[in-house]
Amino acid sequence: MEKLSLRDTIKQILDVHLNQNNGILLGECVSDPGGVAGTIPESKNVVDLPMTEIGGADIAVGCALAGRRPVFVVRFQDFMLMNGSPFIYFAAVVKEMHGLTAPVFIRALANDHFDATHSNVLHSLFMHFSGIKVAAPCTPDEYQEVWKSFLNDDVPYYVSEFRDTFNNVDEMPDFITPDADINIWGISVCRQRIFEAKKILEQDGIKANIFNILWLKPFNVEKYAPYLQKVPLGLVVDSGREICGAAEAYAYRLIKLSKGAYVDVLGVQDKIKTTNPNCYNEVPTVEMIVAKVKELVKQLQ
Amino acid sequence: MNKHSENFNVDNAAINEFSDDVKLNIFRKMAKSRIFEDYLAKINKDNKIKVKVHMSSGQEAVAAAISEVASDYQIFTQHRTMDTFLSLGGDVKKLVDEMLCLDSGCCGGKIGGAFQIHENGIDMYAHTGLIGENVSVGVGMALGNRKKTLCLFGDGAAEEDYALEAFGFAATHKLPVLFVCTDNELSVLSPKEKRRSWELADVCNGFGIQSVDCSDDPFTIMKLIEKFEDNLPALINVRVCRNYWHAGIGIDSPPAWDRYLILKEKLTALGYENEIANIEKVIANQMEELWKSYL
Repeated sequence: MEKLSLRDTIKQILDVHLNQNNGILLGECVSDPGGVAGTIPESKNVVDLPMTEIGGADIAVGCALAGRRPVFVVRFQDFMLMNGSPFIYFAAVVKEMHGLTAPVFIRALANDHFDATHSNVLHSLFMHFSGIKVAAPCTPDEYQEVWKSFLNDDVPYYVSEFRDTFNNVDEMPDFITPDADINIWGISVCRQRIFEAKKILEQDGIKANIFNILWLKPFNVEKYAPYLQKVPLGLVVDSGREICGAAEAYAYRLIKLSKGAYVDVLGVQDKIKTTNPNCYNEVPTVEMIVAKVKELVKQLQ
Repeated sequence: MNKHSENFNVDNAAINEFSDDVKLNIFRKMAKSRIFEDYLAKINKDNKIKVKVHMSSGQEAVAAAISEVASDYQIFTQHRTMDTFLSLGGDVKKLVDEMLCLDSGCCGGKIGGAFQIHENGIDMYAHTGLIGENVSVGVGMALGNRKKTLCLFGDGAAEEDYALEAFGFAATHKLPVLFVCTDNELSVLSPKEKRRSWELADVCNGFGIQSVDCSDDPFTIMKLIEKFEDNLPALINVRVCRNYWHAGIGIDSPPAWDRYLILKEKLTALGYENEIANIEKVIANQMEELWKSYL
């Protein structure tokens, strides 16, 4: 049987949800032919929201209260800064505060090289708040896992998607090697770049354990203890900003986990993103990952 | 004509279309809210209640009318909502306990100033703190299940961008939502005339929502709710006066009118003097008993 890409997997999942299970999908410009990178199926349950931020998210939360398990699509994660409050302050608190549930599946898409307001990844922001689960699936099976988890859960999910992963067909299992020089944790699109970097690093005699972080929150840090104890050097690579972001948070937790270990981070710098190649401030590339790993390994030696 | 006046677009004959029981029920509900808050004002002079208290006093007619003819709606309320909770039959002890932030409060004591009911066939959803969110979330729920939904909010909340968007969305999708705005012309202490040059009824009319602007005569409101029931979405912008500050129990000046006293006079003139005296006495006894342990 032909394997589906991540794009087609998302579309298939939504097709079942919308056309067989009375689900509902809301977002701006979601009914465009081929809209949202070709991930939206045709359905009467696809609702185009007016070009409004916040209010549209509130309407999705209302649909969740009504039991429709809405999928809320935002084509650029940057817009989640405005759309976030209904999810953070209503959907995520209503269970603990009022004993009700408002499970919304937030599809927050990201990409690079657009501009300062269309190229950012904001999953770290949502990790900060209670009552929301955060995931960054990059493969078909991972997306299925996150979706099934959502269907059996009663809280909102923030699903950080990156357009460069939509053509992925193959899974990306962790890679463990007995003589590793460093542990590398990858988030979102950075994961596939880490595997590219691995090939270059091996040519230079550097071997790495590679761990894929699918669930950003909750994050199961304990399972990495044996690897850090054996190789006390690590790097967390994220598609979001380094400063106060997921990478720094995980590095801190990993360092606490294993005394004497050093874990550094690589992500988007604390500068705006631009369309100018001289100052893109882009998501870590293969070359950036290779350079950072070499620097860390050299320091340790 | 002064829109913010006690007789603005009031149907003075509306009271005659309702039975004796309904007339007295409306008064009973308004009395319950009023007397409950009178006691609350007494107790809070010592600041025993630590959360912000948003008194309904002066605006009770709206909640009484809603509870009488729209209790089968999904009701999304705002911060000023003790009267709605009580009129819909909410447990008064749970209301007090919520304000005291006790586990036994109607929201587990976790928010203090918001109240919900999900029992006895009543679905009243509390807000979680952002003014006007109940408008757009309520609209979303109506989209999700197509059930009759009532969003109750103030004139300040009506200005929130997400609330304005929700009016348009409800009109576009012909959702069964009744919007009820309690318009006291104040957002905290900012008068409406300084905040905006438009009226909500005009804006909603522009969206294609049937809209009425009137003062808070409960029988006029009930007639309008019944009129709109099969023809939603609709808006009733109700002119009200609040007796206390935005939050707390302070009073700056007497209200322009007090619907509770107006109705009391009206019912007295109609020959219900004994009945209303008895209602007030019974409720006062109940509240005395309730508040005894707190006073």
